[in-house]
Amino acid sequence: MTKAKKTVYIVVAICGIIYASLIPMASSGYGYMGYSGYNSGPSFFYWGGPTIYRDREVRHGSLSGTNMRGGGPGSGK
Amino acid sequence: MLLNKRKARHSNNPDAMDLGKLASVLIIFSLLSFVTAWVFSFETQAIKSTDIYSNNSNHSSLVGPIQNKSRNETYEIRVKAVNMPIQSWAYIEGQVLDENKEYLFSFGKSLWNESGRDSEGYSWHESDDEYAISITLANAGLYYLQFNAESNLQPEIISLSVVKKLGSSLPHFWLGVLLLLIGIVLNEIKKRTSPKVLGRLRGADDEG
Repeated sequence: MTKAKKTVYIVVAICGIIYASLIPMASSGYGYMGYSGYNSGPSFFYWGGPTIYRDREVRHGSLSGTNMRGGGPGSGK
Repeated sequence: MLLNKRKARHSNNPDAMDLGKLASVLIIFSLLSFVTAWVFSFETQAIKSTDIYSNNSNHSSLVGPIQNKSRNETYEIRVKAVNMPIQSWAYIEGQVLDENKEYLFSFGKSLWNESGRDSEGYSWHESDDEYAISITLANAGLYYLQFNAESNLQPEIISLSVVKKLGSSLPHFWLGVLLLLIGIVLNEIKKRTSPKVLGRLRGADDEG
């Protein structure tokens, strides 16, 4: 077997291993919000969607009492 | 003459690296990765589909429960503002809550519908009235979604749908991009198509 053919086979094997190793990650929802827990955001590779907020905005001291609000502009963010 | 010498050296040396074959291998794997990414974006089950009407006085609606049967399931949540009034905006925020209705995280985007006339008097109309987000629910159990809308003119209906997906298309998509780029570079080194194309374009310009 020539060196060139050996190199091609090695590259095919490496690509195949990388491709196959990504399948469990993809099946588990890698990269989306929630994959690494709810305290960290989505992966760097996920972009273009809506803004994601991880922190709560707990309103103390209001007349109606403590209220759990979300993370958007209407919630003081 | 230098190119012919290089070609002759390559054809005489069976061990010389064939970048063209390597490029082909990488491009084939990149196409396979793109197809795999596309397959992982398939919807497997429609979970919830509901409409929130603008006459809902507190502009907030709870959707659910959503039963997540196993760990790390992927869902896509789609939000669409139907019949948005012209010159209006609506910030629609969704909160993901656990089975005790405790806050986990939230997401939101401003949707809008605008029209006008340009300097030449032609009318234009643009809108962005929907968005989607993919999420992974790490643990099995019940989840809820709570939606709030803030707007200057409330849309008639806010349409929500939740679908389950096969998985995440991100890993294979980005692998495909990387392999495609490397394959194109190797192919370019092998065949040197850019100088040929540039030369032809320069020749066409000179003739013109």
